[in-house]
Amino acid sequence: MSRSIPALVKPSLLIWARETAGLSLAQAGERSKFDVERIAAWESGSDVPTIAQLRKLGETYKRPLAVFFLSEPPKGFSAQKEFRRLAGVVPGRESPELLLALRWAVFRREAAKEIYRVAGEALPRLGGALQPQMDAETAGRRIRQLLNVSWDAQTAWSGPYEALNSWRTAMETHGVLVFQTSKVQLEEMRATCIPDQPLPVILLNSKDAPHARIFSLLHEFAHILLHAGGHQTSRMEGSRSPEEQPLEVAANAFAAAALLPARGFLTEAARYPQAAGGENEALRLLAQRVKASPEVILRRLVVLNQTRGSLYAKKREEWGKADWYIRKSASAQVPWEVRVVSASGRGYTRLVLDAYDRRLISTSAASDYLGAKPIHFPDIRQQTFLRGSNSES
Amino acid sequence: MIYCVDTSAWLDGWVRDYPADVFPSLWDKLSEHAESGDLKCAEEVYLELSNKDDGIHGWLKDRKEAVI
Repeated sequence: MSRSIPALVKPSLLIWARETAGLSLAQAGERSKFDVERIAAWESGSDVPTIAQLRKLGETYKRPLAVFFLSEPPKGFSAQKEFRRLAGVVPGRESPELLLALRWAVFRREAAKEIYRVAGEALPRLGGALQPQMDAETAGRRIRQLLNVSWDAQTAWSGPYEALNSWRTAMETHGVLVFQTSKVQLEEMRATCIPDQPLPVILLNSKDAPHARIFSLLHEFAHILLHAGGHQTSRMEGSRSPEEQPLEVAANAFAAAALLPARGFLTEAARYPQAAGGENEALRLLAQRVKASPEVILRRLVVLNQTRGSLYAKKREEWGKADWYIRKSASAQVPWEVRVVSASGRGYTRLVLDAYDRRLISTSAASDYLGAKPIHFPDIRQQTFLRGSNSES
Repeated sequence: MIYCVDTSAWLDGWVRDYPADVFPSLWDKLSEHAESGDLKCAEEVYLELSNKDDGIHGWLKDRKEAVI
């Protein structure tokens, strides 16, 4: 049938699709199993692919077949323009996995906007803003008040996953979309965000330990509030904001103060006095109690004048990147519905399923928006209502 | 008249509006139209359906003459 039909595509679209997927010619050849020379010939216009070959290229570049038949490469659309710049990632040198994760996040954000539009409902807006020169403790209090997370609730959560899910849900309730990717290397990205209203986005790396993700969540949330305060967030593409470094320092300080508010935290830390001396077991127990990593705890103890900065530096070097303080559960196959909700968040998932139930969107659109087959919708819906303490989502 | 049906219509019909176990006569009728050649599905739609629902994809697979 279509196997031998030539696809009359413009070479510029083939180049655009490959480059925006972050693939070199060699990588495109490796992933698609086409000879590099053949892809180069298609891109130069000296040969044309068949429809079947073009479809395979589309799978490699994660683009639908139809996109290759545009009259010219789309201009002005770039996920990197939206997201906060990552330290250590050279603009234009992002991995294919990161680029895909960014594109998916932008796609889901647009899907959420579309649902609000067809529903005729106002888009939620996150109230509140922060200034980088603010006192960190005040900023931390504001974040907690805004999210309505009490210290009692935090210490009562049964474990790091319930803590992560609860912080995440608190943000989603206030109109922030929180997505996760599992494909990007931690060295490249722990988290980033689209700080713009409405529907700002936080993208987390689920390769990270849950405690670390909680800090990243609050760090990105602080960036969103700083952006709302009128401060320019540096993006992955475009000019670098002169405020980049002060905003980064402020976001770290505000996140730490929000996660471990001085009064409650110091009361709790007093129950584990050896923690301030850097004893691992005391730090592990305190981490379990307050749902923060030992590294964040020790850093906070330094800021609150409970221990020395040199001890923090020494322990940090000793621990390296290992999440030694977490009891590892046996690895098991993660059910489909858990993966979907983990990636998209309860808030977004419910938004899509509710729109589907209200017949505001088609079955096909709901499937696209969730990246799931309709047959899984009932299980996915049920998963959004589970508050499992050890569940990834 | 030849009808060429898009992904959304196939999927909404099969999954949400007219499930085959509730509306068997409708799908029997559609089957007749597929056999007579006046009901069509573009290959791209057929492939898209394979990623979305095994049921409707299987139904079309059994009526491959409708896929163009």
